[in-house]
Amino acid sequence: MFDPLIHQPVRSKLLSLLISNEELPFKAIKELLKVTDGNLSSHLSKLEKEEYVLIEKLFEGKRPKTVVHITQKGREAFALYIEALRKFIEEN
Amino acid sequence: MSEKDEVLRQITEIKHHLVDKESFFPYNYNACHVWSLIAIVLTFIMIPSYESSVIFGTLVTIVLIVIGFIVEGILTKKVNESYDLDDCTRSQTFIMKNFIMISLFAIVFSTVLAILKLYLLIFLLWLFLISLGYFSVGFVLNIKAYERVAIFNTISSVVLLSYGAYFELLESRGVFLSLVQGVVILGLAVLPTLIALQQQKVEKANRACGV
Repeated sequence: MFDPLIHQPVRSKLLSLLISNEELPFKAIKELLKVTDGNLSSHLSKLEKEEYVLIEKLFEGKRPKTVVHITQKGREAFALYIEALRKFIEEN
Repeated sequence: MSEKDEVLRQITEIKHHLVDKESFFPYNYNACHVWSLIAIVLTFIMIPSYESSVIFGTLVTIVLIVIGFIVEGILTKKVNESYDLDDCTRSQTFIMKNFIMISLFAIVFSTVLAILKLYLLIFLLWLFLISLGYFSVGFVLNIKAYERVAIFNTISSVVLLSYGAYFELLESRGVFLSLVQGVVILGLAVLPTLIALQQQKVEKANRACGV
């Protein structure tokens, strides 16, 4: 019924954040979601695999930087997920 | 936890980010202390500098406000770099533009009031206008304390303006002026500093918890 990839506390918050902020650096997401590097990387990998997010690895001078964007597919999946939540609440 | 509880929790979390606008707002609250200091200095030197010459008074005000924005810009840039952010976030840009526009208007209006020698009104003007800025900060950052300070300042400015007008004290240089200056220091320096200290404490506690 619910998209298992989104129906998980960290990932649903992560997508909400990306929808309201368009794109965010890895460090900022980590701060906002209050998760560890490893935990966030694992969730991002799952979302990236399904092409819900796009992870961009850049270099600023010699400093590596990771920026996460939400894709159109991710937006659509999130909209469907919200719709599924709404239906569930209506029916229960 | 039942499935319904789980769904409700998810909805609450999502609402928190999308509806309550818990957007990302990195901020170095030391900038607040700098603004408080500028507010105190301006409160004490505004009248003497406007009295020596309106142009001089205006320049002093501009210089102090510009110093505030430069310090704020430097601190924001640093804190953004710590999160790998190249540019300001949308919230930062909104708040910065808000305060720049308020300051521009307040500076020009203060000059006009200084020409008319209505110095007391200058303080009430700044108190009221900066409060509008606090309203936006409170809304964007979802920090209720800023909204409360904004309400306090707005009501204070309206009450003091009405009282001063009714008792013909708007050109006063006595106790009433000191009272207005005291309220300005309280509303634009002391209270914002207390909020900033509280926010710094919260951030420190979050970091200590490994957040």
